[in-house]
Amino acid sequence: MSHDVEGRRIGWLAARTASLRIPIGGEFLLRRTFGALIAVWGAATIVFVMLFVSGDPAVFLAPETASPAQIAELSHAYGFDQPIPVQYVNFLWNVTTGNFPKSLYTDRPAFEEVLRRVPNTLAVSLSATIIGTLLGLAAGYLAVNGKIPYLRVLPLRVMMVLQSTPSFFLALILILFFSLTLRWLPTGGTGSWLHVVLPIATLSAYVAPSVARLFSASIREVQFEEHIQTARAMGLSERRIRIRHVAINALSSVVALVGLQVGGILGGAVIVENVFAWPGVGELMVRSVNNRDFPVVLAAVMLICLGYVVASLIADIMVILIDPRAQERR
Amino acid sequence: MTQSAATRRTVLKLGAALASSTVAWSKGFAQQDRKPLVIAVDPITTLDPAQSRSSGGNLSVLSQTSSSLTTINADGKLVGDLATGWEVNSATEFTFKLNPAAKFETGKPLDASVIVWNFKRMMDPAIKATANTDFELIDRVEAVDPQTVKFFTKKPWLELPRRLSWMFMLEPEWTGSHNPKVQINASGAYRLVSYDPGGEIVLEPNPGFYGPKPSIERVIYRAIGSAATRISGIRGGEIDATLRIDPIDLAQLDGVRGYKIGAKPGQRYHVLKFHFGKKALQDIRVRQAINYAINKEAITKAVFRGYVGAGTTQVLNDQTDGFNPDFKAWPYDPAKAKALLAEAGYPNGLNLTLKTSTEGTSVSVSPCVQIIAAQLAQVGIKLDVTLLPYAGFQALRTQPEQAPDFTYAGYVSQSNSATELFGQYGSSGPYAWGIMPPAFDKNIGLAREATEPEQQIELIRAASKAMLDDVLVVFLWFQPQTFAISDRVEWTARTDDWIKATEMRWR
Repeated sequence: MSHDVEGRRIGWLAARTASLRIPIGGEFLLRRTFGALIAVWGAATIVFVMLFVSGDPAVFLAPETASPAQIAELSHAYGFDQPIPVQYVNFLWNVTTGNFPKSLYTDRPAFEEVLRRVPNTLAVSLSATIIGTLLGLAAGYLAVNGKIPYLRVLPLRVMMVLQSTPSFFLALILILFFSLTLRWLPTGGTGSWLHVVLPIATLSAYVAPSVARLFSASIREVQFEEHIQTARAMGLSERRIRIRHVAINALSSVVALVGLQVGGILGGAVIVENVFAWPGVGELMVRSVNNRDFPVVLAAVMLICLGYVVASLIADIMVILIDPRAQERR
Repeated sequence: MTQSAATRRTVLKLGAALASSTVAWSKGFAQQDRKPLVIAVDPITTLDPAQSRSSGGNLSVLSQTSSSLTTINADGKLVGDLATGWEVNSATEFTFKLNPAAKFETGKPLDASVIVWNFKRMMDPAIKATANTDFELIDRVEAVDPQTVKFFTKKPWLELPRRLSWMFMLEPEWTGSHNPKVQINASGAYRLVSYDPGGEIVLEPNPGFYGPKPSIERVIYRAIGSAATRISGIRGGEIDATLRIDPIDLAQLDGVRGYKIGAKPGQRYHVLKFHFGKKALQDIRVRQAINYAINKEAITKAVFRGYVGAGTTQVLNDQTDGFNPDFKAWPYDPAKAKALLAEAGYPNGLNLTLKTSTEGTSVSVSPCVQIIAAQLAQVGIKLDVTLLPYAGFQALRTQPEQAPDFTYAGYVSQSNSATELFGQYGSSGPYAWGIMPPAFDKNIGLAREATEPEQQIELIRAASKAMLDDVLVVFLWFQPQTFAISDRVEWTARTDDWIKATEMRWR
């Protein structure tokens, strides 16, 4: 049981929130919003330049057999024959006036095209984050507190192997074993819950190792702190100390890590979605890059960038919720 | 008759009825329970007929859901689809009679006025159509009556009915209120259930179709661009039919249960195209030497597992009008190649560059160009090969400053038309640089505007001869049409890239 500043006995959650000052001040929000805008604009600009420098999009709209004259005609019809700076200014103007370009192939607003895929990406990414984090926490906890010696060694060894395995390679191994050899799971696509098993397993394997390693290191660090010794001296049970006082305190660093990993998870999702033909934002983005459907590519990049910024912000707030002292350090 | 005999007979009758109803029920159950037919095709970016050009992708799907005046059947013959027949009134005037039962899914009739509207739409610059190659030759389209439509061309164009085989019809009113790039108002054998751009297209029979009812109840066209994913799909038993597996990959599918895997000569002909602006390649002796220096028979045997042999010096296949059976393969003669190079002023050989892509519709590109480079090295030609991503290779078409001495690619006509195919080899085709000897271009132009079929065939043959006489390309081979078909499906793969569910049935 915890106590408040006036010495009254209160619950654990109440203790955590009692002195909480959630950093949603005006300055904080302004700073983060400005940073987000700069990040989104920067990413969109880099992608815009790269897409246009790599070739006229009309080449990809035209049939394989089109002559240079036909391609030039098409390029003119779409306005791709204008200088890149002019097209860039037009693009920025359209974005700022809420007139984001439409997909060159489906004629639907590019953002709508990307948003249609967001639920699929979120389903895989969030599930993988949750499962990977839980697995990582379990492995990290066992690595310190496992009763049998091999239980303390094996989980981290497995995690080390997973961390050293690139996502695309693990995906292929899983396909080879579960789809081609055992024929238990489909190799890709959609249609049933079975289709999502391998993509989630692959992404979870990306999340779990770093969580496990950090969590075990944090537990080792926290368990020798003074308040833990005090708790032992007070006669609290070892199980209660390990879970409520050690593990919970060690969690704050894991939450920060998971927040920072969002970028990696989204990057991993691009690979995983393509290997498993899972119709998410990553698959759409790669296909659109190949087809030079630049409005969709830009919309996807901007949305992913925005997602990353928002996830970082949520992680910041979560860390402060778990460990209010973190607010002082920020 | 005793009572026991009557009872026995009644019991037997009941038993027979029960057995037959069980069989009927189980058959019905099996039919209902059967998984949909899954066909792997190239990635599909749009369903708008005005922008659909991939016979291995969106055109195959549209051929199932939408009507065209004509179509190329499984035997490669031009037949009517929406048209019950047509007359060539003159080389510039064509009359098509339409099926009176043709209608769209929404109930609107598919009559002559719809054809006229579709043609106008196709030629409207605002639509930015890419599927209207050569359609500028059409002067106007007129609806004579609801079931008769006339096409008038500016110049003679006997191949018009063939070219119309991939012009699919939209319903005018529906198009105004819907997005034809992602939706379909069906008039063909199937109707669209769902479409996920780049993913799956689900079809089911269109009850209002004027033709025979398709035998397969539910079809999924699954867009799979990656060769590795197609292979996995086959090995995992998830694909029922697909074309264009790399012949090198066929070996790993040999032992896969439940599939018939094979290949036959296809219609896509592989060539090395010359850059006619490069000094060395302007000399016909150098072009001949390169043809002599490549052992096509050995390459096809090694890379294509003997499914095809060396191609003849004619790029047309035997189903194309104007095909000449007298053409033979270019002989392999490295000594003669060396002699020709020396005669042309290159006794010590020369350095050349080649660019190609391994990601397009041509298969086994990488091993082929590597062996070609090794064989050319034996006669003193050092070939610097660059393998580009598909996007980079396509971009070359508008970047003449990046042009190499050669490009390697395979070419095919969607409608198996000689003049359309030749257009890709002519000076206005893709990857054509420099000034090409004029005879071939001249003959293509004349063949396109021929007024009589016999005259056109002669001109096509003259164009083939000009292509050989001027050595416009390095003649290589027809790409093998590889296929995988699951045992539950009965289907004969075509030699072109079209892949139609209506040509398949359950075993």
